[in-house]
Amino acid sequence: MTSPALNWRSLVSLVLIAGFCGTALVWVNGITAPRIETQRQEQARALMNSLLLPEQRIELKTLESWRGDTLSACTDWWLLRLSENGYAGPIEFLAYWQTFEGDLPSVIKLRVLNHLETPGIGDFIDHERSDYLPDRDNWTLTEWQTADTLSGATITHNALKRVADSLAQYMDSDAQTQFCSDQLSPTKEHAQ
Amino acid sequence: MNTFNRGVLENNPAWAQLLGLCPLLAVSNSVVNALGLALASGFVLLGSNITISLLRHRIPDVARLPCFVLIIATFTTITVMVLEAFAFTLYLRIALFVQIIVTNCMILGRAEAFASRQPVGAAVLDALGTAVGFAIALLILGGVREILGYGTLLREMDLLFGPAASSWVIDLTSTAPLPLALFPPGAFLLAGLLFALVQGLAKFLTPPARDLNAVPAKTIDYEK
Repeated sequence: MTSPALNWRSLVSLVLIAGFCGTALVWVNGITAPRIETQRQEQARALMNSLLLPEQRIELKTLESWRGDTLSACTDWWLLRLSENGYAGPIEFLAYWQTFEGDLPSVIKLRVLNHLETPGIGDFIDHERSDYLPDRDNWTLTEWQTADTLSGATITHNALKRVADSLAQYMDSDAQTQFCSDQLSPTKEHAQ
Repeated sequence: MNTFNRGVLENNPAWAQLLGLCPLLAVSNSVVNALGLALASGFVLLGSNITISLLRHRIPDVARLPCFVLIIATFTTITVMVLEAFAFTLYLRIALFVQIIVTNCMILGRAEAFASRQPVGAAVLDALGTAVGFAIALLILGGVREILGYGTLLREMDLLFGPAASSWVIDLTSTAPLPLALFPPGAFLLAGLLFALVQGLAKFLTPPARDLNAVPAKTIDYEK
């Protein structure tokens, strides 16, 4: 039994159908993209406010923009945007890093901006569906590193651990000093 | 109208063909979620049926399935973008199940079995019938699960219809009668009961086959 082969007419039809689909997508994207961007920014702003203490929220209002993936008033708190690979794709995190005077360890709070984890298994990281992350808002780096992995969602949970590790590496004292000296310098370009 | 009625009742994708059950069971824990998925599925079904019917003489037979999937994926992506732009909170809840409409056998099945062989008018009626049938199943299941799981009906309708719709909620009981209804096991149990009820009703209302063909039109003499 032989199947009919693709001739040039069929190929032209395929190209036209693909072109029609592509054009439709580009057109709809042009209409919806600005609104989607606004919605995502509002969501991120609400999340940032929920992570900060009242006095820190006042400091947040004085800041104009993110520098790369970091936002801070160079006091005792830092907000970072980080991404780690989960089970079904990248997980976009908003991380809060709080330092204290003396030898007290820093506190890490994590929230997820966007993820593709499996509903009912890996979506425990979504604060809208589960209290898993809000319940760990006072955890230190050591507590994140030594946390028991969740059975059935190992890859998702390992992504959380990797984010905590990346955060600690990124937020060493040299990086903080560098960020704050750049922040004070008016000649540097601020990225949104 | 037979084409429309067949999609709603006789060939209902949910209780007659058991298609699209994954999103049906996962999302139908409230009326607003069910309605959101019903609208999204309906739009994709209607758009893909019309497009495939219009292009049925142009789509190469050897590559028809990739073409159908491409067209369905286009309409699904458009739905996701529109939902994210105009109903962001609802999008965050049901986004995954809207994205997997692209693999929904109900939509691919209608494209292959009907829209690719029929004119646009018939394809529209078929899409509307199937979409309405799927929506009825979703809304009944969503309504029952919401009443049992939350003790309310029409809660959080503002996610779809704006702030004015937040007052549409009807509080039926002060405590949830059966919280299990909100979880996957509850969804399976209630969907099974619903489908059994519909099948039972259909059998009760349909006359037996012997009554439909009581007197044979013609006797055949096998000896000859």
